[in-house]
Amino acid sequence: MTETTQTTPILTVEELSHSYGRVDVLDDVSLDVRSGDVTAIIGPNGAGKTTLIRAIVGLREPTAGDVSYRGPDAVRPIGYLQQRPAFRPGQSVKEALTFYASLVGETDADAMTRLEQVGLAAAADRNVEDLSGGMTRLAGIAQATIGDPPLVVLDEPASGLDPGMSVRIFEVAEELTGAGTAVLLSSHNLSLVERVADRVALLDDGSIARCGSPAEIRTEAGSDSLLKAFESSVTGDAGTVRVRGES
Amino acid sequence: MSAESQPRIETRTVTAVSILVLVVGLVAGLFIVDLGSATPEPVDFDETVSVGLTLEDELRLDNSDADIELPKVQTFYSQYPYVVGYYGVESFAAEQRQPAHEQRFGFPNAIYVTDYAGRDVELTETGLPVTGNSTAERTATGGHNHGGTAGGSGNWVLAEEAVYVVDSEARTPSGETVMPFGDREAAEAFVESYGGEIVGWEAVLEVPAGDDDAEAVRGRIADRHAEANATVDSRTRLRDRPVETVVGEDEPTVQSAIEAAPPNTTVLVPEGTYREHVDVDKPLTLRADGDARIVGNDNGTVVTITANRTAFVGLNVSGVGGSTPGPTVTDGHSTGNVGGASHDHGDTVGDDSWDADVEDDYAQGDTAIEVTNAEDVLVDETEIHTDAAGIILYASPGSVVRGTTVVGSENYREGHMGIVAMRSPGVIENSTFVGGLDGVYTHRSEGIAVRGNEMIDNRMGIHLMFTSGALLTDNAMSGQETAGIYVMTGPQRNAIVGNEIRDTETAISVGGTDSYVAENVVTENDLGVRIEATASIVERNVVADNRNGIEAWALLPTNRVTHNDFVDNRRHVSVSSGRLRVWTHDGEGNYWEGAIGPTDGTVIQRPYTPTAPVDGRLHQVDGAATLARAPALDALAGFQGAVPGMRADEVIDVAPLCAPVNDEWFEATERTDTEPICRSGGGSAAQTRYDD
Amino acid sequence: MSRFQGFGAVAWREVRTVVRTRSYLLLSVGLLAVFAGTLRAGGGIEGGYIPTAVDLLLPLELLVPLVAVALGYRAFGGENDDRPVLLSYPVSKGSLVAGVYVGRLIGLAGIIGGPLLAVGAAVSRIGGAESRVFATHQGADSPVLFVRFLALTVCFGAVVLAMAMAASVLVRTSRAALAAGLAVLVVVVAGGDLLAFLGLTADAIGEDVLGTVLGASPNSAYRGLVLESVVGVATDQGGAIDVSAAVAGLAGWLVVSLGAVVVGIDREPFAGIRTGIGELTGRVAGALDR
Repeated sequence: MTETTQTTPILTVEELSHSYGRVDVLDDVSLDVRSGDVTAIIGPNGAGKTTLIRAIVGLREPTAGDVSYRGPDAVRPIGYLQQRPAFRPGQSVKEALTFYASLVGETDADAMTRLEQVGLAAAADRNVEDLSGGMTRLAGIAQATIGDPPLVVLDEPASGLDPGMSVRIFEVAEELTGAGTAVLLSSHNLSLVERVADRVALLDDGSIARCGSPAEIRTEAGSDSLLKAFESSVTGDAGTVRVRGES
Repeated sequence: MSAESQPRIETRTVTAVSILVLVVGLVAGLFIVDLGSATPEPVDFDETVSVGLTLEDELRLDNSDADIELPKVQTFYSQYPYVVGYYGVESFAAEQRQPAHEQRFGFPNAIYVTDYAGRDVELTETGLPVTGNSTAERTATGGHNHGGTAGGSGNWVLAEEAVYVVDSEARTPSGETVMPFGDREAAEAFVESYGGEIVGWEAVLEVPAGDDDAEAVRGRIADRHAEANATVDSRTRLRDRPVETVVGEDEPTVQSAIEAAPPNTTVLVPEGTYREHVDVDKPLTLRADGDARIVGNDNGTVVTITANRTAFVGLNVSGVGGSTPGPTVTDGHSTGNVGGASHDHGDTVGDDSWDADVEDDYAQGDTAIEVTNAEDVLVDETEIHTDAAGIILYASPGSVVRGTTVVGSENYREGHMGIVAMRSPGVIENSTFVGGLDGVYTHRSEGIAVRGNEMIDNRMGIHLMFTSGALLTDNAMSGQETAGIYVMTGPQRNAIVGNEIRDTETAISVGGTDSYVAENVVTENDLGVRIEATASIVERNVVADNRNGIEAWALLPTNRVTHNDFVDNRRHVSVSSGRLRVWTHDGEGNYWEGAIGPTDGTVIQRPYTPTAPVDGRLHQVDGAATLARAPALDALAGFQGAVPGMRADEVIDVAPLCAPVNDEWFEATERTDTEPICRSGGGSAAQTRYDD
Repeated sequence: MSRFQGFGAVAWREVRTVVRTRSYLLLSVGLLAVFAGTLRAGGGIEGGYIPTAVDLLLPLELLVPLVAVALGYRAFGGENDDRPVLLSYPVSKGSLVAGVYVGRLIGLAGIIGGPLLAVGAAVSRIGGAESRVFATHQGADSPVLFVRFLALTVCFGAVVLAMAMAASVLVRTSRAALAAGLAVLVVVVAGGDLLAFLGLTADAIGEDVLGTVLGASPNSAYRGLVLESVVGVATDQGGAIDVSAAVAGLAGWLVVSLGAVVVGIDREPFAGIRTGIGELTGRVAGALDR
């Protein structure tokens, strides 16, 4: 894995700023995402993670700066899983996936393959409303991989899940990089990030506080765990919640 | 895997877009397509709902041998599902000028007129058109051709394509008529023989109608009263002939006194009972002096009058024989279906044998006084007790019966009419008819006046057969088993005014056309007024306390029904058949107990539909008013009159009056259950009336 | 990539959603019940297609916007909101909006058209006069007129649907979307007519232009078009409305609303305004809740 980190980035974020009115949510953020890496964005609530992700996916027009995709031509360059995956109620998992697949010209067989990839094949005929939170995330990840996007962006894929399911989600994310796909995710689960991520960007108060492999960040912060590095890097009173754009 | 499936997406999208375009195209096509292009084919005239000719005329024409064919029109209206037939192009022209005509029927999709071209049309002595050789089509049908009513579908031409001869010698029974021709040459040939000039369709629509229209009926009432008064004055002078003969002094019996008396004198009959049968065959006045009674021997007719200008004054008659026409008559006519096959003899030349049956039936039997072929007879202040007929007037025009009482059989099935007026127009007034079949029965007595009489417990009070132009006013009736006033056989121009009728099965049943029913008070009847008539006016009547107020029977919605007061009827209005009628004229309708809504002081600004389930219960059911004010129902009512000709079986008043019209009646009867609802002021008529 | 990429799939998904949502089916059944009740009260069904249309005009003026708002106010909100995900697919905003709109419109046509077709079938069975004695004819009445009526009704629904969708895009929360939908309903059902009425009484609208001005109010335009092209065929009296103005009015609302949806669908450009409107409607909704 370490070899791939040296290749050209698939996505670069340059000097990105974003503000809602007079409130700056992102301030001069730069970031590279490389193929075959799991890149994790961490940071306290309100640090601007979701805003950054939305800007990367193209849902937000940044106030300043650039997001450029530099990967290969693809039907769907960036796959995206939103924080709270929403599937149209009343349809089966397979139908939901088939719909998205049809948007990039894939068949329902392709949709099934995606479901197998995330281990949801058995639940294919279940109604989307009947899925557990974890299964919904898995189905969402399957959705994010439709069209074989070179970059898959997952916004808080493990939030609110039990530890076992969180581990499963991160495993799936890691598996995706096996085929050379770049995965960008945000998470609060620092131990899983530490275990799975190739690169970590620590976002604090709208700007990147630290960026590098988990080991580099630990070293920089002089801590023996990512959690401690996180705590020492985050400014302000840890007991208060900052509100800044979308959480 | 995406590359190979790319075309599939395209196909699907293209399909979706093409379907979209197709749908849009179809919808646009819906609005472009012309719906009016198909002109309906003419139908057999017998199948139209026809107006413009009385049943009498129809029957008469039907029975004439000549191949009379009146000019006819058939019209297909945009809103009216029945084909409407008109006798006479001029009657259509008049009808389509009526203000509410288009509102009620819509516009004509197609109008056909009789085509006389190529049919060897001639006129009879009276100007009735006769067609020569029937067309091949008509002959082929093989049946007997009823000239007056038949019209094979082959003899029609579109009105706009025809030419018309006006001001020629051609006539219908109603008067001058316009003759349509499918081609100009035929029209020119006709003009050469019978005069007139040729015009187009547009000009024909302006031709004045031969008949007076219904509105003129109103104005005629006073004239007709004046005529009747003149007749009465003239007849009552017969009372004052010099007394030349006194029964008991000059002659022993009434009959011998009559024989002895010189014409144009008075035979005085002193108090006493005279058991004899009397036959007056010269113009004399028989006058009682005191309580003089002529009593027959309970066998046959008691008094027979065959001389013109006979007067019969103050004598009482009884002892009449019991012979009556019997159950064929008593039951046969109460259904009102006269003119059927039994009266249609069909092949008698020019004569009126079609009503021979009726004459045979009704002129039969015994009677207290029989007047036959005697003009200008007076029967005055006579009291008659009879189990058969009271007075039979036969072919005796100008006769006046007044101040007379006829007490008939208690069971009408065993009795006969109070007065039979057969071909005897005259005046019957201030008389009383108790029991028996019909108080006054008229048959072909055009212009008869029946006024100020009282009729009690008969089968019918006044029964009109084949009688047009009658004046029935100010009669008081009650207890009739069938009807107070029953106008049968589709006559014209009858006026029924100011009668008070209560406690009957049907107070007034009026058929025919151009008739006038006004200012009557009908109360406590099973049915107040049955309107079978068309092109008629029903106004200013009080319809109260009946089970059914008014029943609308006429298939054609051509009547004007306004300014009537409907109070406390179980149902104000019922409809037997036909389309929606709008009972509003010139922005004013009727007074309906129960009608609600905002008012401008004269009318209520919410349409009232007495035939609707909620409106019809407003005056009776608590809570109906709340339901009626529901925005949904309220708003629905607003749209009801939009296409009246297409609405089935409804009556709607779009401007109900907020106060009763006949306040004298309301004051006299001390009605407190009728609250006028003209609240907003402005000094309107209704408001001021009620403030008094 | 085609500009219409994904249009068909998106539209089809909306159709399936409408079909599967039971409350929409109930809505259709409810409409049929209202129609039946109205026609029973009005009696139009025995008269033929035109009287039936006249009877149904009023309830449809109220119920079509209701159905349209029900279908439109959540088109991009609540559980249906996967816009962020959809935009990561090669689906243009235009085809996404068009797909959702057309799909919902087909649903609306089904919900309203189904009961109306049932009514039409009933009219064809029992409508019009029949007589053994007299010849009858259809007059100006024709099933084509009823189909016209149906088409106009669906077009009216299409316009209000677009308006409701625009309202739902401009606000964020589903509660606010409901309030915005209700606002659309009120404006469509009463607002335009009342404005025209006020304008007329205050002499702000000249009598000669009333027929034209009415075209700007969607339900006046609808009513006018029905009176003109359906009822007017039987009465031969035009002048219910300026037809071109009415068509332009409806088309205008449609285009403006769909344009607003396209522009508003990725929230950025109107964020400020939208936040403002969102807060306002949210407060209104909150007040309504209380």
